[in-house]
Amino acid sequence: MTLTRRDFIKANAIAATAVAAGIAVPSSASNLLTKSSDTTIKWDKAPCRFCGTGCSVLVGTQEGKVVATQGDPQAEVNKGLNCIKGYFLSKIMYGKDRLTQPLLRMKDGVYAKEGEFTPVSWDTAFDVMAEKFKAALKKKGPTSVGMFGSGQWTVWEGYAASKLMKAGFLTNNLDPNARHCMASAVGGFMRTFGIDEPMGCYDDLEHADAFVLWGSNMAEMHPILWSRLADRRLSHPHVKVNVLSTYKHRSFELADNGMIFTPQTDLAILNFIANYIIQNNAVNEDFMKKHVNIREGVTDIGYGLRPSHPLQKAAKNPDSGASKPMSFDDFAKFVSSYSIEYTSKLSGVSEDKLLTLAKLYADPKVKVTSFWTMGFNQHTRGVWANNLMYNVHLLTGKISEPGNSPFSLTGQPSACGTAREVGTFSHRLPADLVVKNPKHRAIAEKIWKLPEGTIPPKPGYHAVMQNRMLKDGELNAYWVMCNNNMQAGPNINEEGIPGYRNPENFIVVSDPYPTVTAQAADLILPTAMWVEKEGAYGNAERRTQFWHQQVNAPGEARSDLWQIVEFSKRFKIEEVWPEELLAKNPEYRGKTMFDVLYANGNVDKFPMSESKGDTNFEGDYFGFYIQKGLFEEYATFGRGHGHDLAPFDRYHEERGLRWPVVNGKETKWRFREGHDPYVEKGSEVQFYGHKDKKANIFALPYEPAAESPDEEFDLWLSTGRVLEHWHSGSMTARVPELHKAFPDAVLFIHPDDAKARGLRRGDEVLIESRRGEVKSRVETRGRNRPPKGLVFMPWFDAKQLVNKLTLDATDPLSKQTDFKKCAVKVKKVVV
Amino acid sequence: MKILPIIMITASLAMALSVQAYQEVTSGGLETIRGIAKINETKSAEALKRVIKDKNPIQRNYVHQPPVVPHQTRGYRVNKDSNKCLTCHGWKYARETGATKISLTHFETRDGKTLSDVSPRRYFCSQCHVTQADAPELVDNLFKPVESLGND
Amino acid sequence: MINLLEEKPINIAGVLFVAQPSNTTKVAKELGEFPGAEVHEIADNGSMVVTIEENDLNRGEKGKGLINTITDMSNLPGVISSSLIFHHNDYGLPQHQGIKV
Repeated sequence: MTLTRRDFIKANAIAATAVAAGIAVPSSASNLLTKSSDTTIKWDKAPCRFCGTGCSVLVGTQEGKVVATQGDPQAEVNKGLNCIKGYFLSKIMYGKDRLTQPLLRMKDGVYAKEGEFTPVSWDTAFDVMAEKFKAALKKKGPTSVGMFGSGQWTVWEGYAASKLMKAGFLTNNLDPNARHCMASAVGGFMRTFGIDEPMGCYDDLEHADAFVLWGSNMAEMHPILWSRLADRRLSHPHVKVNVLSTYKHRSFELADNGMIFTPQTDLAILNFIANYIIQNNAVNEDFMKKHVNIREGVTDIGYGLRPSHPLQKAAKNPDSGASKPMSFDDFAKFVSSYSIEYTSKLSGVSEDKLLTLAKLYADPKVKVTSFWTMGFNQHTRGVWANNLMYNVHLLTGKISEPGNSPFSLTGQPSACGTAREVGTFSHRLPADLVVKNPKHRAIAEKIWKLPEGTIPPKPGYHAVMQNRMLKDGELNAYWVMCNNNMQAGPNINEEGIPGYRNPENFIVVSDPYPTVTAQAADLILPTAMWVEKEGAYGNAERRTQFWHQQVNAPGEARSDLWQIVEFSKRFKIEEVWPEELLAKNPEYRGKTMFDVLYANGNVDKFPMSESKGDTNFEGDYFGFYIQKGLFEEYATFGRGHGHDLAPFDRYHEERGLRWPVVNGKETKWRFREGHDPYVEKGSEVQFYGHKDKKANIFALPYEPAAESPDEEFDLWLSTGRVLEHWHSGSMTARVPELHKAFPDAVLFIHPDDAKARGLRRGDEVLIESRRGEVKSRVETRGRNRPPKGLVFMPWFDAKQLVNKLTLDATDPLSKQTDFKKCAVKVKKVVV
Repeated sequence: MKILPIIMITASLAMALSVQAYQEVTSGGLETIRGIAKINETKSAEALKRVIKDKNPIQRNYVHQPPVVPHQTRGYRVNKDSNKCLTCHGWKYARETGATKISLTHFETRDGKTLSDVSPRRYFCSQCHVTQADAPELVDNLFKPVESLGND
Repeated sequence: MINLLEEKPINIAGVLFVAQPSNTTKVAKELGEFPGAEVHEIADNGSMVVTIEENDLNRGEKGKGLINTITDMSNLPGVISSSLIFHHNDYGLPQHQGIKV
């Protein structure tokens, strides 16, 4: 039979529409299609692998390969749309250099730190790895082993890792790369509300009258949310969009009020708005009286640098998050120094623009949604910036209702789901519990069926500290999983490389691709990704989404879950627990870590017959539905405590649900009566994260950045992402269309700054900081337009490792690095 | 996966930094996106790549893959007041300019209504449609499209 | 084999219509009567897979054009919603603009 092209396209139209409708492709169409392809295409849902937006996609597979992806029309988040990265998800797993075998550095047939990467079996890999972990434990104890995980881990991978480290190896040296991404947001939530994650949801986008973007380039970093915001702005002309940034970027294309401010002065602008609200009698006094406390925070808290650093020594109250009660009048007096004149001069934003902004917040008739991402969070006063943002919304009562929403966006697909909710941070346990609190540890120990005193009370090393401790030889056996920290972490030269290459240390990197972090490792474990495993992610609006395994991983690549759980079999519990702990639970003697942590009656409770997916490698391998077991054990932590998750099976049916899910219903706006089942009748609003059910306003000042430009290093450097690439580009740089869309990092610079250095567009430049150097090309006309005195460089490009320049200064409270501010100089490369 | 013979470059870097004894990274023969360049090396930055100029439409791999832009777009103004892309690709103008008409799917709103013009949620073209530079692939991609899902 | 150099340009949309499940037969019949429209599948929940192809009857100069046809179809009594899922248009390809390929 000869098909006409018309028949063919029509068959495609029918097939695509049928897929979207969730009904079987009619035989009339599938016959035509199968004629040319011989087999049918199977479609299933999955959340996108990339950012924190959490779009749902439909994945088409055929003969064990992904052959197409498309936006999921049934998903509330994205309603059939994807961004450019999402549309090319189909190709991320098929880079030719996928790792398919474990690779160990060897010389003369044995492991050698300076050896050559040699393919070995999983058995050998785990033998060597277990030996190194055991040696470290024996020599220096539990604090000498650690793990660096990810907000891109699935929920159960993070949960399994948390158990392995905190209950197995008895160390809290577990941190996710989400530390770099939203630790300050967590700090802000815990300090102001006593409970983590946004009160609102994406529905705010369809309700707000004004949007304010604070250090968030949504147009590139959260494109689908941007499309919803653009939709709102363009179809409702009264809506106003305000964009604040230290340089001009694509989000300014929609801005009614675009503001470029001097780095770090966002703190002053926020205090000015609070001052304006008070001065103009726009305080919602009833709301304040019922629902808000005011506190004065400790100041001069340092910069999270090594204690030996002069800046750290100079600080009066290094790392202090202390505060004391304050009266409203004292608070009003405190912010009164942030006058419009002072703030305008300090920030470089004109008075009329500041006024336009402040009026929107002050006007009780205007519903305001504030969005922020890395601009606030990657900030040496990141927690403060978050606190000050909530101040503005609390003063006016514009919170926890449709359209009135202070909204902290997350960068990674499961920064909320895995890093925060599961609590894979060095100080946390699931459902907002912390290791410091003996009651919290007891809860975890009970759920995990472990003797009292198992979980160590002292927080472990956080992300930046891990690199420092590797360099200092304190952390010796180290597992890096699902991230590319040698490219993403700050100050590569002074901390990253010396840490990984310290001869005392053994570094394991699990990744699908040969990244620069893998190159710095001693053992590389090939890893299954995305739909090669069953997974769950939690997005920025508290939405938990599941997917089934849809294809098999290539070669011997195995999922992070398999790696963690399988590795636990290598340790007898006697090898990791001290005698006094064992004595409390003698029945665990002779068992392995696997038996104690995963074959504990909870995790191995559900048989594989309950799995509705076509394949499940881990389930078949371990002999039980491990994902369900881990999830259900984990969900015990939050159910009944404001973090309720639905039963496991339901998530496979839904396009995600926003927690708390109570009586089968999700929650769109927390803390508000009528929306949130945890709020008592008649109380309107309850910030139930705190015992008195009130939120905190904090008096906190502007304090300068850790490193500002001076005579020699005369430019601010801000780093960040681009639309076409995901983070360090390990996936997207391998997709030809995405690579060609943004092939190399460039240095965005103001034309006058370029001219003053004798530079023209396209010139090669050497960029130097006090810590390192990198070469790039000058861009004066691109999508980002920095003001004079600031340059911007993206970090996706492994060929130009911009983090050789950055400073490992962190917020002293959240320990999150400030990737947006350090001082550099730029000069032409003369050939 | 390509395992290269070990390359020992002992020449130290001309960096005014306190170089640690173990700051040198032996590549171990592992090739990354950087090629064989080790992490501690400062690579020369490649020349800016040119965006390809005025080509015929570039083939797609599957239905719903947004077509890439086969021409340069530098200086195109797209903001809340005007959209340069639509002045050629919009239905009103496509016939005279010879540009590919934007797809009808773009007329649909978030709640499923069909408008007579581009839905505001699709207004910013560059969120999905990107130009292509004359840049060789860093790594081959083994993705295989299925003929039946091709759209050209 | 597929003839890729067909002479006539193709402009076709795949639209998902949803009607009250009790009413689908009637709605489907009416939808099918629009010029260029064809109903391919009706699901129990009221979803219908419909294609609308540009032809001489609905083409811009004489008829209402594809988009207006779809709009009219959406306004049909009994239609709850319509979603444009697929659209392909040859117009604009070089072979349809007098350019030899």
